[in-house]
Amino acid sequence: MGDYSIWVLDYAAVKTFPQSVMLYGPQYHGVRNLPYAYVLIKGRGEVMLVDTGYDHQQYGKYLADLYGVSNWHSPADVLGECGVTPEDITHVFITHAHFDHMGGLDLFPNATFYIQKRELDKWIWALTLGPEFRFLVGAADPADIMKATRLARDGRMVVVDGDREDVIPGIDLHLAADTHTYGSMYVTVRNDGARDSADSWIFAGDLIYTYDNLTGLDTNDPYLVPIGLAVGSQSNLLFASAEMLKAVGGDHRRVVPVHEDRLKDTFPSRATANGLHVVELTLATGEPSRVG
Amino acid sequence: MSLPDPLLRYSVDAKPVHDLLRRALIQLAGFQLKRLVADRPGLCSYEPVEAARSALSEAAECLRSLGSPSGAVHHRSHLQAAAAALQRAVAAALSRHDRDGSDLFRHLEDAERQMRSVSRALPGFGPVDFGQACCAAHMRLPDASALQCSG
Ligand SMILES: [Zn+2]
Repeated sequence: MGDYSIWVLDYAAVKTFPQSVMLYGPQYHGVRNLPYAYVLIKGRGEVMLVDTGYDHQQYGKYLADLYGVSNWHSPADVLGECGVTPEDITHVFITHAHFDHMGGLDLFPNATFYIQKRELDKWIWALTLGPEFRFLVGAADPADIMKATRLARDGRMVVVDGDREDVIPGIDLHLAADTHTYGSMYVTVRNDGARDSADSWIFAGDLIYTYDNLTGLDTNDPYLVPIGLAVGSQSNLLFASAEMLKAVGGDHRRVVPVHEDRLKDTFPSRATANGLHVVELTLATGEPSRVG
Repeated sequence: MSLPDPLLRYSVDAKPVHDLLRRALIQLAGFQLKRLVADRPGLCSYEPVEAARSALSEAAECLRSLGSPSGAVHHRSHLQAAAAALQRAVAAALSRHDRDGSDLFRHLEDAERQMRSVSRALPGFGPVDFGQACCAAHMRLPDASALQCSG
């Protein structure tokens, strides 16, 4: 058993998400269900999240309607499934500045937030470009800048410049520059605490949308396939994927894409009364199962 | 039922003003954010403040020539109030007396509130321009009878 218990909690979904965005190439292969989710990491006295979700009460609802998001539920409801409240959250690692990952900055009143400097700098820069460049800020909500500014004023926004080891014991942050976004970050949990860990989990943000990005669609001859949405390059996405896979010893199930609908079939899970899912990746000593 | 013509005309003319104000708000908030998280805030570039200032003077010019048909008066007043708050924010950003940025922040919050009211006062004035985006293909202007300012 490791130091941390980890769950993936979906909080909404896009029922008909184009497969061509999840996986570069198959332009005419229809749609998939795309859960929106965040990751709950609990242990060593900390309660942490990878990403925040977004706030449906505010402008997020408008964006969500545009993107066809349904069945949104609040962090109080979603975290409650694991006996945690939004007030309990101590640290949040923001993988990138898209509204479904960062739009909930003001929902966790006691948390400190971590984001890559490059993501912040380039996001602000791109938001000020002319409307002809709005592809670069698709899925970004400008209101999040004011939320981030409020947090920075209160000393609750930590800007990370590149890789940082042991930001919390056993947890590392990595920059994947110019990939899905300019400063996307992935989070490694070394659950045995060892530097050369045999029990690593990686939370990939949107560097991958599905396990298929790590295996391709040919199970007999696996290969890396980038996602179909990058402001950086497909090459950078592939190299980031290879790096993540290497860090988990090639076990692709441990490079976790929160938007993967099959997580619930890959790990122990349960459906909630709201039609959402609790996916239990691992339990620390003494932590009761939330899916049993 | 579609929007009455003068209101539609107003919406078209007000769009660039809204875009300029939105951009100025982002520039100033971005400046403040970078200053807050910087190791050496004194070294932060004032380029975004200058960009915001020039966006605001352009917006002021457009605002002067912007009509005010009935049904748009409320919207226009919020645009104007947002512009004024952003002007105060620029002054605060350049002021030597606002080292901790608290005045700047207060004016930005005021501008943000006004911009939110702008969004609610007429359709098509959200903080992000999705006009041409494929994900917004189903968007349309609602009936004029549904237009109400709640802010
Ligand atoms: Zn994303």
